[in-house]
Amino acid sequence: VNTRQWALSAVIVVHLAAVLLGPNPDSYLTWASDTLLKPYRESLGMDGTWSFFAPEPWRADFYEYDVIESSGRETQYTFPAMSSPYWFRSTYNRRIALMRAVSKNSRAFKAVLVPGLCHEHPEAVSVRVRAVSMASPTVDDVRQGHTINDLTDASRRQPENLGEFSCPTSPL
Amino acid sequence: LPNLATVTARLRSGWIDAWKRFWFDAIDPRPLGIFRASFCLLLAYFYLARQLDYAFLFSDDGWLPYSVLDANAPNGGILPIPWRILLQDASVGSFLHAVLLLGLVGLGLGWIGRRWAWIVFVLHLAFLDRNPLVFYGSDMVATFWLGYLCLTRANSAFVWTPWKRKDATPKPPLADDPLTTIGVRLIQIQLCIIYAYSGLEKARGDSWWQGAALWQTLANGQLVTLDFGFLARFPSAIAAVTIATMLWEVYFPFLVWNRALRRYCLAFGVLLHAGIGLIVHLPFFAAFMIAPYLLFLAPQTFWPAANPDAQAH
Repeated sequence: VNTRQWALSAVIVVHLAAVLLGPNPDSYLTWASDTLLKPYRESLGMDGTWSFFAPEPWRADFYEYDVIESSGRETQYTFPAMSSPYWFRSTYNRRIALMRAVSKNSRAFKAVLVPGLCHEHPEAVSVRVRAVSMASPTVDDVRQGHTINDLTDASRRQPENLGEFSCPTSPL
Repeated sequence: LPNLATVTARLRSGWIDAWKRFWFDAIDPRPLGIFRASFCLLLAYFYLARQLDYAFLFSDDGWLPYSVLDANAPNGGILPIPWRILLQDASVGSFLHAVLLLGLVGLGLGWIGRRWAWIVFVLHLAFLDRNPLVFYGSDMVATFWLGYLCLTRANSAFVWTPWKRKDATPKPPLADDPLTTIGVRLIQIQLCIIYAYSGLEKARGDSWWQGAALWQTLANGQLVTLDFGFLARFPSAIAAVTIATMLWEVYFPFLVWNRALRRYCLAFGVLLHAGIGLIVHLPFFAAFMIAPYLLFLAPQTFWPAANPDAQAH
């Protein structure tokens, strides 16, 4: 092994340590090495975790909201839409990703979601928002006649009222 | 007892030589060329959708104006180097996104090499940084493959140059370039890391052990639009596939390096990703995960006359 190969080997070992430890942010080893490795991972955009459909598969989650106009008229919508209206499915998937990212972060909810909903509906003076999570029907449910993939099934809806927000951002 | 010199010599001839062969030996560039072409062209098509959705995703008229991002993530978003500053002006950003697409096409067709690939990679990072709320698994995987391709001379094979007359002289069969071998090895190892973590994360979930996770996914109307209700008659089969998926992911890093089991391991992966990709509407994610399988296959699989010393395996 020549000098160049030793040098490259050292870089390989550091890189492997970075990408092996990064996806496990709770481990002591990751914590202990973060001073060195986290900036390296972040610089390369390689600081993600790998947990596709895990530890539990996603539920069908969306925001249901009422657009309230100055006349008092209320119209109900969902974000994202209940089914993809786009030619490219990835356009819809990005909205699902946005919804999931915002749902984990109350700051992003107020800074991004509420203004976004208001922006989509210029007629709105306020929006009333609910986070809705849909439990999937079990095998037994479907055997007993429940419809699969039905996002309107009220028996499986778990709504959470998040409040009414004046457009653009401030809570009423 | 063996003396220190003997032990050192054994180590040297064993582990160190194996390390050297693994990371630095020349490889056949053709599987890498096919991987590069398929991955980069698919990524360009995948991001074409993003170009058409540019206003929503990245402009000040969209859901995350630059000022809001700056106010909420003042330290450069997800990256210590705030590449997103390149995209502060939406019209410049839209132009740079088109440049990114052209760069991916250029990489895919083999027209540009690793130096230009770094520019494509930086542009890719800039868009991830501009709106970190809208990227998902496909973008994450693409970041790794694109980053590792920057190390390689991936355009040593399968370069599309219809304006050139075909050269009767065959090119050298080996890519004798350490960084190219390292790039290929990192893609292989990264794939193992992704599967292992994904499998271990699944092993933390009750529904995966119970065998219900696949069903729960199939019954999620936001992900699946086809009616798979008929599968309710085969709960044991669903449970078996669910648990097999979890175990396959956990053990992928061991199975794929075993020559005897490799083809079965990869075949299972192709079926799994193709099924999930089509049913759950994630075809690009499926393609990005399957594409690096090419790098695990011996060149002789495609070209019987390939140099047997040029194994990337």
